Amino acid sequence: MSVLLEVKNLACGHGKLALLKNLNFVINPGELICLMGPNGCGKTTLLKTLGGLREVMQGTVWINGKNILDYNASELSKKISYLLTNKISIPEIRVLELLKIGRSPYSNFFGRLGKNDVIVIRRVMDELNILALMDKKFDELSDGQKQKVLLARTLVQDTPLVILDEPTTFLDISKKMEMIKLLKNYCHKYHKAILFSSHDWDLVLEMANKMWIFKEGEHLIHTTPEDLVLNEQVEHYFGHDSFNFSKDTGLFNESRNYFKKISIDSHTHDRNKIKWTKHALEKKGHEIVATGSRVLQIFDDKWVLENQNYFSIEELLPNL
Amino acid sequence: MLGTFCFLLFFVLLSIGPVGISLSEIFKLFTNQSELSATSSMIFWDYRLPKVIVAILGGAALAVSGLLMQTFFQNPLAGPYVLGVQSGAALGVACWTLLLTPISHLLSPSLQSFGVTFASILGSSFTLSVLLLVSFRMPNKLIILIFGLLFAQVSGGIINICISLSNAQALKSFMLWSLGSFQQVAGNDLIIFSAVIMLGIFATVMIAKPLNLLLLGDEYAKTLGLKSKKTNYSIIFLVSILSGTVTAFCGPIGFLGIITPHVARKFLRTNNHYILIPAVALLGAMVAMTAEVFAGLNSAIAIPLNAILGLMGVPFIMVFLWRGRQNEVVF
Repeated sequence: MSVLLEVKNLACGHGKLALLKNLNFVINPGELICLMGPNGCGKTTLLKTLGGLREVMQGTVWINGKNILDYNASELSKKISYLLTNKISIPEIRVLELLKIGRSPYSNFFGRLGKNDVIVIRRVMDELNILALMDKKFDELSDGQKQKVLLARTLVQDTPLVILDEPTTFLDISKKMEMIKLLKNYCHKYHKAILFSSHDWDLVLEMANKMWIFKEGEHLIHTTPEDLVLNEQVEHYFGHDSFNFSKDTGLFNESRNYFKKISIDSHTHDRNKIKWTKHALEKKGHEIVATGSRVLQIFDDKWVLENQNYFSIEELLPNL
Repeated sequence: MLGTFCFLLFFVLLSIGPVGISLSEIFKLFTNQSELSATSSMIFWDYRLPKVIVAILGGAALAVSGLLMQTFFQNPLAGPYVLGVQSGAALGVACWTLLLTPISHLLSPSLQSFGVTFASILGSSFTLSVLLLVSFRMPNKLIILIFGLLFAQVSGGIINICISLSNAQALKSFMLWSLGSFQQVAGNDLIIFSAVIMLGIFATVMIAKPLNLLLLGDEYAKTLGLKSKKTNYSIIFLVSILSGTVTAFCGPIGFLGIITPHVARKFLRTNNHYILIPAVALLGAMVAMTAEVFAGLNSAIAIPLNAILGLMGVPFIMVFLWRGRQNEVVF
């Protein structure tokens, strides 16, 4: 397998100040890599340096074995495409026209696109489920729709390496999941490499095969989300006093402070019912103990506390 | 439709003036079967036709440079005046007419008439050089824009000083220049004027693809293969040439450059510069000719062009924008 992008000893930053130094890594076709790190650590700068939007301060970036400095702008536009966090506002522009601009590395001098280009644009719109937005004005779309259209604009460029800077901002949880699925498929189906930055741990856990982490004072750490969980390093990198990491679910929970004690006596086989009842109790500050002064009985069809029947957790909670 | 309208305007404009020439006579003039008196014929060829050509090309040039500015700065309020090119030209002309008039009788008459144009071109190319220097050093477009506006302020200040130092006659000739007119270009000037503007508009069409990319902003444009420095210099250069030439020969003509791109985008529902550039040029020519028609309606007094453009254009644009906004809310 040939290496798509290789970085040796790279330093990058703003102006004369190097934010990141001594970076070494490779990206292979078909990889889905997530870049994580605190705000302001230089994620965006690194992403932009890889595509020639920022100057390489030191070291070398090779794309397909050729130094990035030896590429001209139009050759580079067929190797790397971007989704940036930059706002786009163009008066009167329609979605289709925007996507056509995204395809312009392949258009001729007069901006004309070929038959194949139109097919690619349609295919991407179809895959992202935005065919219906084709003739809509971009300015009038919702934030989520805009983000999807901008992603489509990136994908129509059809480059072996796709770089996405925080692709899931503005998206709600279901849209996020949809985007994850979509990018995974895209990566797999067309054997493209995707490098994206994100703050969303749950998203990374579901999506990335590889992850790179920045932590101030340390180098770029290469790992996988799963290794991070198994080595109990998640809290080290992303932890905060008010959250606990659960190795079981791979997710963060709020650290609980308990004020009262309660014990549970279950008369049901519905394990979910027991689990979510406990969840609600703990959230309200009740520590579940083996034997306590108060006992909550759980039946198949009701909860019983101090001889009172409750038929939903909503009814139960105020009387705890 | 726009083309037909333009064609009609062209002939109407040719016939209107202190000496009326009927449309049928104009057709005969063009087909070489003229029975017109020598005076009328001379008026037509030496004054009327040049005026119309200048209106068409001047309007087109200002409109195209407005479009270039708006795409370059990604700012719908940008227009040719923003870069300070018109202010620079005004400064040159002010210095010439207001300060040199006391000694101008020492110069030959041809040099005198050429002086205003020359001073104006000098002024606008000076502004251009300053801006190019700034843009070498400052990649940030907002700073270029601010420099343009600052430059306009400084020019305004110097012009005011010149005005306070000059005599009444010089003042009047400067005021006349600043009112704007398409009627001051003739002979060799007309050939230079037409050549420069046609080349400028042609060159603008040549950079239509980079302009389309620039719509997405600098960084996205780069990722799509734009050679951004080269494009930035070309745009600043073209704007200076186009609006600088028009300002030199016709005076500072406002308003036309900002508004025509908006109208074209609204009507054609596109941002594609391959379509917009010719459309905006045509629209600019049309607006300029319409303004000239109004200016020439009353043959007794010549109404200043800038006054007409303001009075005629602003209400039209207000209605246009207002209605457009309401439609957007409905849909």
